[in-house]
Amino acid sequence: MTATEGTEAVGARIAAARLWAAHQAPYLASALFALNPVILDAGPVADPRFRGFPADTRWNVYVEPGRALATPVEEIGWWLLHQVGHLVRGHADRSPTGDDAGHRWNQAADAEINDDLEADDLAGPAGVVSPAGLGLPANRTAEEYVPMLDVLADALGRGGGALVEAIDCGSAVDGRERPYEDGGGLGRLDRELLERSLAAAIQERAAARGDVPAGWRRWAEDRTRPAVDWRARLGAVIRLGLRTVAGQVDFSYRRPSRRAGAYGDVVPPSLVRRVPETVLVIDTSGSVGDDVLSRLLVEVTGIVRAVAGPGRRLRALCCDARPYPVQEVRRASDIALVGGGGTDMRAGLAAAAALRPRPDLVVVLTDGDTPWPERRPAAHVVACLIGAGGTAPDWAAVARVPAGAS
Amino acid sequence: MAAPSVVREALAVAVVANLPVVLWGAPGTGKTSAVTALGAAVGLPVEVVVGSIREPSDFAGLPVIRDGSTWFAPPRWAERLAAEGNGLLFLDELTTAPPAVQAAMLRVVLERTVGDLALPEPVRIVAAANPPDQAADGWELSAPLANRFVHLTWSVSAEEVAEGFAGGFPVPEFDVKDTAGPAEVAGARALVGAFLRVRPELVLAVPDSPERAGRGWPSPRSWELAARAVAACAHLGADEPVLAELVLGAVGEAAGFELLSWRRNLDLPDPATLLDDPEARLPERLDRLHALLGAVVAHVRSDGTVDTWQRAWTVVARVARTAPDVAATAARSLARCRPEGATLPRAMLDLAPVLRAAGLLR
Repeated sequence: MTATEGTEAVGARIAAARLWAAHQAPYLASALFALNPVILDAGPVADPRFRGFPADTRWNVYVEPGRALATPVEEIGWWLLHQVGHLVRGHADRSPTGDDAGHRWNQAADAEINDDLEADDLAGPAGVVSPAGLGLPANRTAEEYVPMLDVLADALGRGGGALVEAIDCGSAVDGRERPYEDGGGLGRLDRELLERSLAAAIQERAAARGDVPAGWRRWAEDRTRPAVDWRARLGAVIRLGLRTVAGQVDFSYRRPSRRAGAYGDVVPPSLVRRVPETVLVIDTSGSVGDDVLSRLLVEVTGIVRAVAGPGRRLRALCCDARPYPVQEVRRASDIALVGGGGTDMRAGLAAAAALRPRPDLVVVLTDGDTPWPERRPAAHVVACLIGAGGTAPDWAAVARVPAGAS
Repeated sequence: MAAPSVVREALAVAVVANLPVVLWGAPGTGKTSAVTALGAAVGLPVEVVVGSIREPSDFAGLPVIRDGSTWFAPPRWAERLAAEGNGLLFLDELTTAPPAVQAAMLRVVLERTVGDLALPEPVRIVAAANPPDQAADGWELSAPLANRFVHLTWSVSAEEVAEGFAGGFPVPEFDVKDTAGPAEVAGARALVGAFLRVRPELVLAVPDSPERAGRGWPSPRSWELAARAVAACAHLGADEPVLAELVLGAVGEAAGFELLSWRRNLDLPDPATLLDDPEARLPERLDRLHALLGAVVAHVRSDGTVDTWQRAWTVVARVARTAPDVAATAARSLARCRPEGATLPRAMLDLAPVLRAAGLLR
């Protein structure tokens, strides 16, 4: 067989593998056809871990001719699907830096992808990481699999066995360039457009037929509606609340105006900004965990202090079914969380409104499982809802915070 | 997020095309020095005005009594720009300025007036701001102000900083006078208009959350900015990543990516023309070929006649010569929507080898 004939045979085999993969997972067809096979003519790669069909971050898949001709079509197709998984899940960008992290990350990333492939009855070839095969829970992220695999490998290592065979998936996994790579391929913009259209196609298909595995549906949802960083959202909502109430800029004669020079004998007033009075209302009912609350309190007091200035006293009010006495503190850690019964934020908000000096901004930390006042209180209200369940009325600015926030 | 060099080039294109820009970036990443260097390179006098140390009267004009009436005297920087006739006004620390000062700066950006003085049209406005999560006393931009800017995210890479220290930071070379003509701008506006006809829901999407309101969002005004960016990039020969930065910065990510991918597919032939013209050019990239055949199959399915169905097979047969797997994927869905009385064409036989190799033909 001549070289050209060989290349043609490899090309035909890749085409057949792509067709097989597109048949098995029609929702990934556009991504499969975007993969660009690069045939390595220069001879076998001298890396013992070069055992599959590695990819780089620019959607090139590297194919060793000998291996392609020796591997069954279904297995090549499986590797193509697997690499699409690495690429669209952005494993190269998520990869931990540090030299020792290298191969464990590859295995963890494999585990993240392979459970979704198995959910579609696409079991991988022998020797690849599979959460089900290793007795690990499915549907976790690679970051979660890393410590699990560490523990497993440690236990197996003491018995003299290895966890799984080492197979390198290329720079698509860790972003470190391999010697056999060339520079071509899709640019950043192409990749972004490709991923977006793939996510849209998956969602369309999931809505029409419902034959898309849950892992891919979740990916598509996250991709089209990226998760908002709850810290940024919380900061934005509280800052906006402070700005709304702090808009009461006033003229005062306490300090001379910088314009005074232009007026001569007239003494003009200068602008002063009042620092808004902020009150925290903390839901201490049984349904809200103390550790979540204390973490949130640090965030909230940090934001308020950054905006209102350092060294200010902050008033906090714990509330379950009834409000507890108000506490004046300087640090979040000084707040004593008291209570633990039922929930009624109406009582807490009423108690906050009765405070003197009157509060301008009330920040409510709650799980939202509470009755709310029917009418808008006089103060601006920011509600930090812990967890996904609760609701808040229209007149409150809402920031949702995950219950397991860290 | 795009590479720092792309953002630099996008900034240069925006300045040349006179699009108002706001640079978002951490303090100390060289936004100010990049803008002054750019001004020097393209020959525009630069006036740096730092918002956080100014008072509202520095932008609204200082009231002075002259001849029995109140005049709002403009500060010196505004007079210098007006005398020069063009230049680059750099409003630094836009978001860390107190809200009252921000409101005064807003008027400079919106109406281009400082006190009683109107800034000449060729004066470029560039602003810089720290994201609220990086500056303790920062504010989000209000939605109306944000809508008037192209938002660029400023970042630095260690590599570029190292090169810059060794050999100076690169400055793109553009001629300020060399801007896109009315015909080019009209062409770009027609392109954006055609896109908005297809996706009318993207014409206006007022942001629903405060942190999103501080960035670009689609409105007729920001689509106009996007159209001018398209014209400027075409005229100056800027790459697509640069255009992407500007378009995404003007109308926001969601709408911007829709426009970019729609623009990508403009050169794909229409399914109806492809069926009529067997010689029409086919795209080379397999994923685009796949998208095109998908459109052809959808067209055939909605048409439902035997004739269209059979003509679609000639297209599939053409594709089969270069990309048998793409053709086979389309052929399988085409075969499923066979109209009554049509016979399976020969093209299906040509695809037998690849189908058999994939184990899909028993």
